[in-house]
Amino acid sequence: MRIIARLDIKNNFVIKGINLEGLRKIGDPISIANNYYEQKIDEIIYIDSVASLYRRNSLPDTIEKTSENVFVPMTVGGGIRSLGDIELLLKSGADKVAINSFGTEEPNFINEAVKNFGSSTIVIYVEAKKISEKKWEVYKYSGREKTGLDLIYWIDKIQEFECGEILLTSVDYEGMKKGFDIEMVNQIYDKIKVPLILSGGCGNIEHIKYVKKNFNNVSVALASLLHYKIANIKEIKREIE
Amino acid sequence: MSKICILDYGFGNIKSLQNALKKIGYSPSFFSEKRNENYEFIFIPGVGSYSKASNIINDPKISGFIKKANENKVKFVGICLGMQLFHTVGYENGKSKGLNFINGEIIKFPDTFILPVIGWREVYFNEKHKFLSKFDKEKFYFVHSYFASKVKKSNIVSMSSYNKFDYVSSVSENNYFGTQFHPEKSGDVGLEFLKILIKDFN
Repeated sequence: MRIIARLDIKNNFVIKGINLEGLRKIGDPISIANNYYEQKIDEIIYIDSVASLYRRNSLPDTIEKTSENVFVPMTVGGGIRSLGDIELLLKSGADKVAINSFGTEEPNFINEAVKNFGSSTIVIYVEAKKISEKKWEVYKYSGREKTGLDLIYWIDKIQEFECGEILLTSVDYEGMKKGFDIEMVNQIYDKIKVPLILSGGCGNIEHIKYVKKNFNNVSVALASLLHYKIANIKEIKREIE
Repeated sequence: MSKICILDYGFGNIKSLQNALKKIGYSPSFFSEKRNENYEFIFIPGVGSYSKASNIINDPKISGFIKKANENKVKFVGICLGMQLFHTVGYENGKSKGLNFINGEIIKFPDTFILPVIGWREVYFNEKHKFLSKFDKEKFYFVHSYFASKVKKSNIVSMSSYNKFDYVSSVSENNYFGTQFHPEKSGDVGLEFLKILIKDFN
């Protein structure tokens, strides 16, 4: 299981909200990434949370500076709409890119991205919200807009396109600190053929241990838990070993 | 100081390798930007498709450079796809030719596995490579769906394991050293590994 730090960025600040809303400033992205690196984080995910709205990812500069001192894999997402956007992020020092909104609008873009950069570079970022009993819908623009796509359909589709990884965020659980959305994971778990990263809801180490115990090959992306110093990385790693 | 060239042939994050080498005190140059013939090391990095990469390295412009360096006994370090290219053939999207520096075939993990393999795994180094013994059982970062098979025992430097399936995670022969893992993405341990490799690999 990989322990991944998720840094959502708005206007050059790491921010944190609840259900992806009501954002609060946490601090400088580069020094936070450095700090987690020193504590031996396995990976870092940067998401520009307003990039899709402004149609521009503001992170290349941040990634370039981070990659001078951080030697673990970095995934970068937010506002990716073209092969040129991906190339720019990779040249800045990203190892992988995460595609969400535009992929739901133009699914063939995912296919193109995989063909050009290889599966292991392309992470599909999926935001899902429960809409009725045993039914989840895929959202875009940081949980602001519906896509009309059913979660199970979408999970199948993106794997047909041979994405390398799936970053699955529960919009309902995000920032709530009451644990990951296990009901949602159970819905899709038997469909998963690529590495899955769960995001949204982790509030203590027990929540991570639960995922590790019940699901094989699933990793976790942590935000509140690390940003609010509820637990540190060393302690998390010791507990899950 | 060792002169290092990074063969940037269009595959993978070359910036992270450049940054890692800078961090440990070297100033690598890129094949595409500057070429001289006095390199002590040529790094072949890479993430991506074997068949596409095979076409590129067999292009006369690049293959000529590699051949010449090889005749001059320049040390080659292959990382991930770069290491896979050291071998005889690869079977990603059909059969394609590698550099044939080291015997072996690049094949896919069983389809029942969650692929790609992504994450930190322990690396078990062969005792015979004493300069690397301090890294035995350390964890390094891997991203791959294919691995080297039919490698001669004498070429195996380390083994790792995924879903209880053991596979070759680094190889060497003469002036070639290849790692399936990414030392440039394996934190401080990875930086230390690169440092020792450049200093002590003969």
